[in-house]
Amino acid sequence: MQVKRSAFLQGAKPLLQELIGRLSQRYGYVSVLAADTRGKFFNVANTGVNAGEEDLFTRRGFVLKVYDGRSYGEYSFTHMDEAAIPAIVAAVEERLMPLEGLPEGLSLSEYGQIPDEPATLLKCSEYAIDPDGKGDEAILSALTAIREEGKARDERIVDCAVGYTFQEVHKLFLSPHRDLEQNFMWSDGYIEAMCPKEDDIVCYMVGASDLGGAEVLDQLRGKLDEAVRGALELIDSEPMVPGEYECVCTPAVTGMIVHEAFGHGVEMDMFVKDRAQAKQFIGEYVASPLITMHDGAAVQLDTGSYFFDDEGVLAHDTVIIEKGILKRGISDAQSAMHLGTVPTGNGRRESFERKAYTRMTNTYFEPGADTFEDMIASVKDGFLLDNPTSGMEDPKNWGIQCMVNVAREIKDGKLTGRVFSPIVLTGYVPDLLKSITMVSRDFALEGAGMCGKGWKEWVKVSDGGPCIKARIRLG
Amino acid sequence: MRDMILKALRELDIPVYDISLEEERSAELFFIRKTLDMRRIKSVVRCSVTVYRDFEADGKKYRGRSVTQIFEGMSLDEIKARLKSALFAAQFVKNPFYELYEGKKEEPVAMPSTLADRPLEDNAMDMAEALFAADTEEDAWINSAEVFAIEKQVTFLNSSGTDVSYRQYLVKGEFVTQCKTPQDVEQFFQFEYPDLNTEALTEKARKAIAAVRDRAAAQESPQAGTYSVVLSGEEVRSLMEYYLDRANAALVYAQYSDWAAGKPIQGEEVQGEKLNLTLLPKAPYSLEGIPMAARPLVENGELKTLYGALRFCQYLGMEPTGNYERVGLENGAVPLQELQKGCLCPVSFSGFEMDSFTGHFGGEIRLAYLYTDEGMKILTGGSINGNLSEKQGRLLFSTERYDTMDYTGPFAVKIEGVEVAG
Repeated sequence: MQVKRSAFLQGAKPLLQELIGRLSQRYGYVSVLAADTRGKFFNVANTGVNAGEEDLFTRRGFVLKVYDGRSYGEYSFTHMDEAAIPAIVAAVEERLMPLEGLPEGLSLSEYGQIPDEPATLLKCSEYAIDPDGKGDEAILSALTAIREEGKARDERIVDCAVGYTFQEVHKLFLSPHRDLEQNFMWSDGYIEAMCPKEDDIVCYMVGASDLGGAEVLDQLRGKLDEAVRGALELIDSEPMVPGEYECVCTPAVTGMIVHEAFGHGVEMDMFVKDRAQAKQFIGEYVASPLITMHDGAAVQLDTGSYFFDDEGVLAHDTVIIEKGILKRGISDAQSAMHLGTVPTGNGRRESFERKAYTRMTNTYFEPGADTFEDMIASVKDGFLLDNPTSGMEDPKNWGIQCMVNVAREIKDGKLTGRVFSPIVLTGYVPDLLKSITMVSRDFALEGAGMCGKGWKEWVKVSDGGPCIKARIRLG
Repeated sequence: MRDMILKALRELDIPVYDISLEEERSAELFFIRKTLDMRRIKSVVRCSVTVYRDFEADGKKYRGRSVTQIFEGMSLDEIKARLKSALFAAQFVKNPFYELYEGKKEEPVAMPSTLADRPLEDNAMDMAEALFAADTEEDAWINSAEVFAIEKQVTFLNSSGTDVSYRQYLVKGEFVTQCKTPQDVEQFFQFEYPDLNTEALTEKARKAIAAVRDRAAAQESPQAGTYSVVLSGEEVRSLMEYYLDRANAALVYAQYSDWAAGKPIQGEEVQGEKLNLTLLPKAPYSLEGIPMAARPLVENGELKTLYGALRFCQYLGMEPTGNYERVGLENGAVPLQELQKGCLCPVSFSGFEMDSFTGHFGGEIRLAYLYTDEGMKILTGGSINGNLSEKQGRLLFSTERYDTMDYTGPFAVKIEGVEVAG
């Protein structure tokens, strides 16, 4: 089935075109992104049952982008009808663009005009099970069944929180020469099993995600064993002895390394600000020749997928690292203009209320030729790293700060059963990527979480890849 | 909009509800070095309506709820369709019964601020000027910055008579400092003020530029081992999350926390300072319309009260307090210089984590000062790892203070026996 179009956006379109026409009489470039999104969450836990529309994912509004021959300004607003047009035009002409009072010592960054190349697009994504059709009762029943089964597995499980969210996204991008419309839906879910460990609670969370509908619930159900087993293992986990070890990373941990440690460093708005070391390494080896890395909303179907970005640039498949060599970064339109490069369809906004930044979409390493079993067998003294919990970017210095929940000990090519937790991964990103000696045939993407830029600007992304074997400093 | 929602609720015969309405206007400036790269203004309305549905099962009373978002320009029929859908969902949300907050219609509150009655654009420009006033050196500077001047009008009403509103102003943002010699490094900072506090921002930026200069000079990582560590500024606030989370009624009800009033939360034998924490309001009313006031949370290491949202407070049989984000810490016996002796003092992390469930805290060090008998050494790299549950009996705080929108209290805390990976 295909995601249906938004009646609201269809109704607003003529008014938006009129607004663009009015502003185009004075300004060289005018565009509007109109969004009508609806996201619904369901969760069950010891705290109770919840179902409703998620504020962050349920928004309706507009953002105007205007060029005055020197620079760009944006106006985000929610009130739009025929009578509102004069007030919107006045806000742009009187409050946004005049730029009065720029303090002494500060100046304006001057840009050329965005090439408004003609394009028309109407795309709708597919899904198997309509969450609205499945119904609130059935979704909550499915989640409750997973939760009860999880809690029944072991009396030490104090809670098994389960959640499901979907978002239906409708966006319209209009400029004098572009008329783009996209309609898509993503879904994700999580299971978080919790056990007491002395006076504290240890948690093991697993996720599932897809560019689709309620079919994700089946995927989620299949991960219950992993969540429960993981939480129980944490009860007897030991603290890590800091050091550098041979490590095998599961696809989820590979995804965190791809995204946090490397991906943020090739967001080219960071190149513009002189905040990313990667800028100096284009054309050079930054990883093992076994590594090829992609980012693209067009290349994989997951929560980072779309048909065009929030600046009206069509989605790409960008090869960032090819056989170990850094080929290029990803960019939003304004950063590309600044750098004299081609935008890669990575200009994304948290919502119409926010500025567009360069953001990742679906980011991953290509699979290799090794088997997981051979990779474990090749480790004399090291760890299998699993269940990433958090990561922080450091584009400037390519320092790694990622945390995983579980390190499973490997001795003489065999998992010993000893589990260490929590684990901090540190080091220099290219050192880690160049140390990769094995890459598995397995491949998995996951997009159950959100990605921030610094500490805000949350967008849906997915990341992943194969299992990799590397030398990593653990703490 | 409010009247149309109330009409829709009446026509659908929905007796129990609450409405939360937020109008936000902002002026936003985005700088790269000293050039303005993008300017934005915003004028938006956000509105959510929660509808409740009561039912009985197995002889017990339940109250389900579901929230829906209402947008500007929606017709009465569109609003009714949203409310109906939410009401339908609410019947499957099987939570034990609880009452909404019974308030009354109150006069609107205008939170006092020097930002009020000035154009948002002027507030944003003045803060930008204050920020860059500190950027006067050749060797270290502000790499980039974002400045937001915001005005919010918040209204909350429910079917139990509560009808409150307040107007709030703030300026907030973030900036990155950079120094390129002897090595190219940067550091990230955030700010948020309820007033046109230009002097505080200039001072913060000046210190931030000095810190990034130190970081550029730092070459060595700390040697792996166990240290007494002094954390300061935002990291002290992050540690307070542990106490805020564990005393939250929602976590206690869910059995994620076993805290109860009267519990000696630092243990029976406290060799460091006994904690004194106060919950502080950031707004006149909670998200559920409950009037907010300062409340003692911990006195001399003993938990005085749990706090939290209406539902969980009622489940635990306690007075609903609303949720708090700001905390005051009335400790601090040792001057900072004294506290730092013999300690590793990380002042910047790439990301500091405080896990309230496990008590674990840690992060990768971007800049630290190590004070020994031989003098002070500037360090970078490595990471710290500790557990607050284990270490909290021996905490010492500085006499110097630190104030932000979410915290007021000692600037620094000394924690013994923290593992450091080099």
